[in-house]
Amino acid sequence: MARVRLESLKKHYGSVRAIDGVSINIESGQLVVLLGPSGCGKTTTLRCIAGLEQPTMGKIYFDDREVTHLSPSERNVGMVFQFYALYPHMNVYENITFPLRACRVPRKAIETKVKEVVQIFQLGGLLRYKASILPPGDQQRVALARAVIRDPNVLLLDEPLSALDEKFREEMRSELGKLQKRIGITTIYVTHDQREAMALGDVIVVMKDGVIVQMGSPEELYEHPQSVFVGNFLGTPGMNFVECLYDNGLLFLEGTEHRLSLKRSDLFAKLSSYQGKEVILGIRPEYVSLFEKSFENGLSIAILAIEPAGRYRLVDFLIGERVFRVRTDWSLPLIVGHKVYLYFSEDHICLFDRSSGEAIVT
Amino acid sequence: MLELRDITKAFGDIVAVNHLDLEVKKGEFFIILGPTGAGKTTTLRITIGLEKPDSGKVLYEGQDITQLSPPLRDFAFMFESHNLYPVLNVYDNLAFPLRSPLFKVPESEVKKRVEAIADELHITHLLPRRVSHLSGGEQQRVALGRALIRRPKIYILDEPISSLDYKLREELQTEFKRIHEEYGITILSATHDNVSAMAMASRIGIMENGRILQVGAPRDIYTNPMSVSVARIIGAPSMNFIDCVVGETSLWMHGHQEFVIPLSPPIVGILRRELKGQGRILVGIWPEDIMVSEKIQEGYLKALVENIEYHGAERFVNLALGESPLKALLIRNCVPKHGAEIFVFLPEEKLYFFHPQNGLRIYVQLGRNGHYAF
Repeated sequence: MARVRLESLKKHYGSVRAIDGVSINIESGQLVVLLGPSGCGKTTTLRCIAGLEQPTMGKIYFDDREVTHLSPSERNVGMVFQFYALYPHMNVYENITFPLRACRVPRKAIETKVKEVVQIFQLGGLLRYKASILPPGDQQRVALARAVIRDPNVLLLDEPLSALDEKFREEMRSELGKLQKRIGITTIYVTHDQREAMALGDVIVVMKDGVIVQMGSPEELYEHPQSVFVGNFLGTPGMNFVECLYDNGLLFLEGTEHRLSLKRSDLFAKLSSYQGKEVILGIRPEYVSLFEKSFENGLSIAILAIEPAGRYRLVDFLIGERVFRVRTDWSLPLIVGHKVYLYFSEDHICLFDRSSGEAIVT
Repeated sequence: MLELRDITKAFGDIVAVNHLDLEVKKGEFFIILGPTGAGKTTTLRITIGLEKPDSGKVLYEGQDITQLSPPLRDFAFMFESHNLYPVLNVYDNLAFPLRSPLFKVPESEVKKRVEAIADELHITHLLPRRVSHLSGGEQQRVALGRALIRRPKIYILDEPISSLDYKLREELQTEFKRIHEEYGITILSATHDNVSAMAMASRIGIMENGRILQVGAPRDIYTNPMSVSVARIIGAPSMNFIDCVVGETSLWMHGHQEFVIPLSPPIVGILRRELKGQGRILVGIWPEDIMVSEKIQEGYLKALVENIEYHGAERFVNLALGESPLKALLIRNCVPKHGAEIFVFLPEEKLYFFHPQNGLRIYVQLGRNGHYAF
């Protein structure tokens, strides 16, 4: 188990810059998620760490040892891909011991190791079964067991859950998170699914076009997105955005008659250079409250749709051209087409520059 | 409006649909929700007429249409792979159903309706483009437009959005719901995605192994699932299930007599009567109903923290209560660490009880005066 450090990593294919200067520090035992839309460079980064690709520039360290030019086997990494890549004709025992047998580890040492992983991954009753007949949940555990049996420096996972049914994916995700914490292995996890990233990551690295857009704990990224892109990308649903005109402590919400008067003095200071200019207001669906009666600073608006989600519901409105969502419980009787009052929690307002999409205040 | 009556369909040894009954009312958005292989697609194909049932009837407004060919049924359908014509542009794809010799719509009317629907779905700018040059989300909108352009009797949608990435899914989910309400159309759809099903449906039919297990409004099924299977399929995250034993006067976790879940005597009485002396029972509880505390309190059980799952608006903790994994919703200021001890309370009124063998619910309800009624 090792610390992993990437130093200004670049990988260019001709004129295509798949990754273009990526630096990350990963603590030992952490689970770090590389998150982004397809083509953002997350898989290329992972492949460079594994040694399957040579970076064009930059360095990779495991602890204090540079591994940039070592072969995959010399790096001792464990990998799991989307389809687990188990050997279908082998049984579970043969599958998980394969990496050890391939390195000619003595039988006695193999048996000790098998005992250990069988216990962690609860594979006791499965050792004699063919891998191909196991349900996906067991296959995942076998694949993980095989990946960690050699005590790798780091475990690399590339979209391991994306081929599964919605429901099943959620169960496997919990399972994976628990196992990672139990083994305590440094893990790098690649996905395009922000829900997986938020649920599993100690740190999330959001990537776009080969560079890091923002990096931090799930909470930091969720509460304080540094750009409209991150605010929208993270969250189910994403952050709400409304175009506004800023004038002397007032935000005029486009597409409405409403103006929001700001009370936080720190906002005034940051907005001083935006006097008379357009900004984007961002707010999470759970930081907007709904009321039946009018009050100061409340925005009156008709309900477009109501989307139940089990213990809560999402109420949709139309502000300007955009759908604006509010997350609320079941206490208030709400009817589509009726007007309600929206109240924005000022502590949780984010403001973004309209042209760059970069955060002014979060 | 549309009724499937005692439908059975087998492919060789595999029974895809097994004595299924289903009724879709006029103006309803009915969604069949179930895992892959439940028989959802076969059910839809039988409804459309692409598949003949081995037995049973399809009725439309009381009329038997089981033997009618698909075009004569006048149902519009849209599949996961949306069958657009890649070589045609968006305009011609949208116009295609209207130009069918069966309907003979004049070209001026075609133009009017294509433009109207394109405007409605915000795809006017795409009209001259070839379908093969569009993104997945844009293609899905075009497919939706093509299904909407006629005014058929009913729309049948198979996994209309589940192949899209979740951001687009969210967007189209609202779009579907809005169109359903604005047009007042009737939709029958199928999906494995419980989040979108809950968000869009007027009513949901939970399907597993070729059968419909429960039908109801999303919220009603969530608060009142009639079996373990239904509870598993409907929630995100899933309901917790704990293997328990009913004793003389109390309930405890199987294999852990020290983990007692306090119950009032009338409930224990009902459970004992229902189980006919057998001890084992499956207890269910939603993650948001478990009370979590970092300090020990009266009636709380000791558990170990496995890990925390951050879901944005909320956080869940995965716990080990004895050998039972539990997932609980955390309140804002509670930040337990991996490996720490934590204490949980399972409030009696939030528990669901299920038969250990068949998974069916054992109903114990709170009566009007706070007394438990059977």
